[in-house]
Amino acid sequence: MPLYNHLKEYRAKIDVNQQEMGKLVGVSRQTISQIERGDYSPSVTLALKIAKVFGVSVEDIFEYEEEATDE
Amino acid sequence: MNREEMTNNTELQGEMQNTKAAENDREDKKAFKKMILFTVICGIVGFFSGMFAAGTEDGFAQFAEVLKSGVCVVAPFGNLFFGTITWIACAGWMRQSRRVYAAWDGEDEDVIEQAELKLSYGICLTSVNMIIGFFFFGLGIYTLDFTQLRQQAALINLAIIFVGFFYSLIINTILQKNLVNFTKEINPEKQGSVYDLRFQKIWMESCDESEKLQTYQAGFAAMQTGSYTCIGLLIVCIIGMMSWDFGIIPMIMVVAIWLVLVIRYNAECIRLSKRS
Repeated sequence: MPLYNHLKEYRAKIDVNQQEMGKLVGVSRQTISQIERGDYSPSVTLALKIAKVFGVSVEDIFEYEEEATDE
Repeated sequence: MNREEMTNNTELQGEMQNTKAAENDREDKKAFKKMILFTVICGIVGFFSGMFAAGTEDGFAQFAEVLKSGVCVVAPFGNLFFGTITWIACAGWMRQSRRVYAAWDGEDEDVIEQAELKLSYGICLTSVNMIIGFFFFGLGIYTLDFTQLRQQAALINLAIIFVGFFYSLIINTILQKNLVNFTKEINPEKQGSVYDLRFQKIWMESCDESEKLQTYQAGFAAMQTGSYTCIGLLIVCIIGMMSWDFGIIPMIMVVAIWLVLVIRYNAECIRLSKRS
């Protein structure tokens, strides 16, 4: 998946676990876990909510990199 | 935009449409050959299956008699047996999940996933047991000889069938309630009571975007599998109707289920594609 994130690092900065993080942004613990593992790409709304919790921009938390194609 | 730009745009659109049409033709030609080959193979398999079925007509009739005798013995106790197995399995999984949850540090996702996996197994098994419960109840009623109901043996049989059925229903309800409530303990945002008729709707509303996506993906997979299963069952029903005296009712039942699956799916796609 071309979407990378630093959610775990930001979460560690404010010392909240996944359950607490989920409560802050209105999703489940599993969703936070899936986002951190890269198994799920959040919607725009959710990404904005996450960024707002940390007081940063979405681009600070999520990075999009094009997948390299074989030529 | 001036006339020249408009003309260029129109030409560009035409070119793109032609390219897409050519691409569609190439894709269709490639897949068409495989589809024809698959259809021919299915036809051959169907032909030999039909021949086999016709040749085994008498054998099947004997098999059906043997099966019916066995079913008469087993059917009244089926619910008691499967209900108990379900109870033991689910109780074991609940116990293991509770142990894991009690030891969980609130952070390690791999640990809590194990607990939730066992709960999912339990919910799956109770759902299967519910279907089996109805199956054995129907089977039990089918095997009863209603002309002999005044006799003690037949009355005992009837009592066992009903007790087994209600035992299975009660076990299922209690197990599902315990499993769902424990899931809600682990995930406090979840809502809904198993006793509520609107439980599925309330539960889905309390799911977040990724959980809903998983549910929709699982639903699509189930719909696909259901459709393929209906094809297989329809073939069996046609062969059974012609060679084994099934009658047309089984075929009608399978077609009804298949139609419901397909029409509901397509109607929902159309509804969702419309502007809100």
